[in-house]
Amino acid sequence: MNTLLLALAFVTSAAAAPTVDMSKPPVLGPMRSLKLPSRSEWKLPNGLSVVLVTDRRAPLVTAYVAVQGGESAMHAEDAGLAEALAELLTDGTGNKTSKQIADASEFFGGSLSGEATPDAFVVRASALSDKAEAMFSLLSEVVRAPSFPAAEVALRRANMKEELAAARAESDFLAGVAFYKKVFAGHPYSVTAPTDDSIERITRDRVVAAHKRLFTPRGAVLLLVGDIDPARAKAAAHKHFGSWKGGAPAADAPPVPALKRERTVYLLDRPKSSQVSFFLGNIAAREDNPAYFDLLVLNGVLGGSFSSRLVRDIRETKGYTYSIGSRLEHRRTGSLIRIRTPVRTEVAGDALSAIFGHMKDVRGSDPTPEEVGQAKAYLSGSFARRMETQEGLAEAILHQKLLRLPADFYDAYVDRLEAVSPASVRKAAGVFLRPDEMTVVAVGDAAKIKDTLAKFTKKAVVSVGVDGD
Amino acid sequence: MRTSVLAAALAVLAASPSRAEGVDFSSFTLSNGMRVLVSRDASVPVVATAMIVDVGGRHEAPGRSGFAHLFEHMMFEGSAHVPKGGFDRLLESYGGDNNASTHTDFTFYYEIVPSNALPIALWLDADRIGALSVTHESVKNQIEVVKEEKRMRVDNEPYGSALYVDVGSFSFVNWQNAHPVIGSFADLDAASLGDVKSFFEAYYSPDNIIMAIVGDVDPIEVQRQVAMYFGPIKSTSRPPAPDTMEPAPAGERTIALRDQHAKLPALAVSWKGMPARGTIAHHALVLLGKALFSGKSARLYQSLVKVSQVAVSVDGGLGFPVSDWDEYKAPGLFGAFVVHKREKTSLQVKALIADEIARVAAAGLTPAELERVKVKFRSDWVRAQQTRLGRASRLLQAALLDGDAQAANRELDLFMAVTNDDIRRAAAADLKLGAATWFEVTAGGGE
Repeated sequence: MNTLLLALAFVTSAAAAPTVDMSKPPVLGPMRSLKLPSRSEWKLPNGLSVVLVTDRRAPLVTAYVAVQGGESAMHAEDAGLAEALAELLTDGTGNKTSKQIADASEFFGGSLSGEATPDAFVVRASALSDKAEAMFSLLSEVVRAPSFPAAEVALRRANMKEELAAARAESDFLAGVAFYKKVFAGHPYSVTAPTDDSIERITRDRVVAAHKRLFTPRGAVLLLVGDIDPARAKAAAHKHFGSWKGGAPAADAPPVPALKRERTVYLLDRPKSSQVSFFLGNIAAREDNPAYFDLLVLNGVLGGSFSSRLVRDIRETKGYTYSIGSRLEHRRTGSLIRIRTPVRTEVAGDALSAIFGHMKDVRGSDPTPEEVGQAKAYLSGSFARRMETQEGLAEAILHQKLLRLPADFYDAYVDRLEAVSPASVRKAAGVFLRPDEMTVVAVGDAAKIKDTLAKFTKKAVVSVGVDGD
Repeated sequence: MRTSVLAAALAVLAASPSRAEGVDFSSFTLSNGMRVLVSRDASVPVVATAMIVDVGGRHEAPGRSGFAHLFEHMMFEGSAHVPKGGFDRLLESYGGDNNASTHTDFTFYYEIVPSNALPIALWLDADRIGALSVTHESVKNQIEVVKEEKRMRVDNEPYGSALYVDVGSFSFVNWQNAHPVIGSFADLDAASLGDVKSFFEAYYSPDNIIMAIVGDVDPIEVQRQVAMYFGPIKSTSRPPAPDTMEPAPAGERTIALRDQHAKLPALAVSWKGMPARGTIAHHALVLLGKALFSGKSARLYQSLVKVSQVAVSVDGGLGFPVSDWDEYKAPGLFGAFVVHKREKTSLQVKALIADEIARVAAAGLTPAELERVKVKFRSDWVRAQQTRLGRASRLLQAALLDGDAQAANRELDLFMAVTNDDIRRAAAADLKLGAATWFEVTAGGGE
């Protein structure tokens, strides 16, 4: 009997088993499309929007509260105040000390933390689903009734000074500070780091006042993702956030004008630095722009992955740097494309020439179908991997809500990527990649690189300080 | 070649679905002995594929320390149809991710890719398992890379030598258990092309490998592909499993160490001869480790850092510092590492640790403590299983270390069933002060 079965199996296998050709990688089918779980949304009478995505893949619940405002809602002289406020939310309430908050979040099997982003404050919590009630209670407490103990504010201020001093030892940090200062010139988004003076201004009174002004249910979002059904979500939202009162939410940051300006090179002198850190870029397009996916693939071809032109040429072939890449960044009222690389001082000019050369090429002719195919595969694959966990899904939905993207943005993501062609990539390069209008920031030994940098601008090279001014 | 493919396909056993409340999976074995676990989850089009190889630091022969880890590096240096660097590049071009790690009892490799790219991951793995390129240059080159890794992570890192070398080598007597996974420069330098080739032939045999594929896959199709790519690879024989028998502790000892890079003194302690995986005492000691060391509410954190304020940091638990609790395999350690203030003596720290251990051995934990530790343990367990890689890793560790992948699905309930009595008994039996080895680390790093 066994013999017979084996013999039959042999015949079947002989017919079915393909000869394996190890000499080249297998040809792949298209990626399966990714359909995110459906969501429901409603509004509480106090103006709080609630978004629910029931996702029962794991017995966990993730809850985020995002309120309007964030870093761009602060005055320029209060840089760092938003960051301090966000961190201090979990350092004390009317009922609990910092340690008691930490204990309680361990008891619901999760985590709790606050963050300031350019357009919003986000408080993130997660818990085992059977302990979610305790999480909602603590989340509500830290969002609505933080006490900002004076000792904790003082400790945060002291630590921020240390952190700023440590960060300034990194030329990439300095280059980033100056780059955003200049590319978003005069706009609230231009401030991305505190200064020594602004940290001094972080007092308990200012933190309390900012919280009172900005933490309001109107315009805020409560995002619930995970193992929780609509009835329980509705009850929790009502119980823990229904009586939350507040005034008008922070206004959106003003629109970032897509200024047409001549390329300007800024230089921060860092004597004896063996490397030059470059940040360069220009204002580009939001994710709801009809040509956004062309721009996304353009970025993939130019410098968005290991197989991109900048990485292959500047890193692999020329060996000017270990790290180079381009990326798209989004704020609510302005987006940009940005290239970042630290290069050896001796090759700074050659590297910058090569970077501008690649921009010229990608604007001048269609990328190859292989390059476009590879960029699309990388982008679809990375996108799918991000959706593996509740946190990944929650972050994607939060981004969509904060940036006010269409509700089907992620459902259409892979299909819209697929529709991109070499010709549409070149077109997007012509429109959105503006080498002659770029803001270029270099941090390095001025004595060695200033003359070289002067060749990249028709104007004089502009010197900047540690705060980008 | 072709005949082997057919033979492999022929020997593929019917997948036997084994449902459980944890991770549903099926399994099959190729005719060359390679075992494969498959778990389907189509919620996103992503798949993780992982291999656990039954070779780690403990399998190394005297004079060959560091070979398992050196070999892990060689696995990324190219194979018959994949050039050096091609492995990472090809996977990344599909949005994939990959890495590997070497442990005392196994070596672990994984790739995470969009599910349509699974054939690429299988092809890459089969090419390196079946036809790895091992050249004199690549061996020499990777010896230097591994030495640099040792310099960075062990030799030039404060407390690196104590944690990754000395605690293990002084706690154990049997060389198989005592030598560090990172190896010694002398042994690494002595590695020849022939040594590396014979290590590969001995241990990277399909029947010494278990693979897990978790994600958006059709189990039948996976079976066909795995058979196609891995079926032709022949299994070879290997040395018998190492003798890891460890004599009983010889009594309390104190070892003095000096650390050139540390700025603060430290005190470590270890107990050897911990119980086997899967026993009640094993589960109890894992939870006790969490209660003593994990998070700001932990007993020793409270006692040493907050109340007496003698220490700046505490770490420890079952397996520590040689392995994590989940990869623990007897004979293992239960260890602690405390960095303390300069004006405090190691005797003060030692007395506080001894007090706390004695208290647990006498009375166990409070009910609230046990509850908090269990909740945190359960949530960490669930969180680790959210990803396909987390599930693949858990199934493979159970398959290799417990001898049964299903153990992964029984384990959490066993941890949740631990009683305060279990913890008290385990502490009394396994953490006797008379059997402890203490390590006084003097800071030689100055201000």
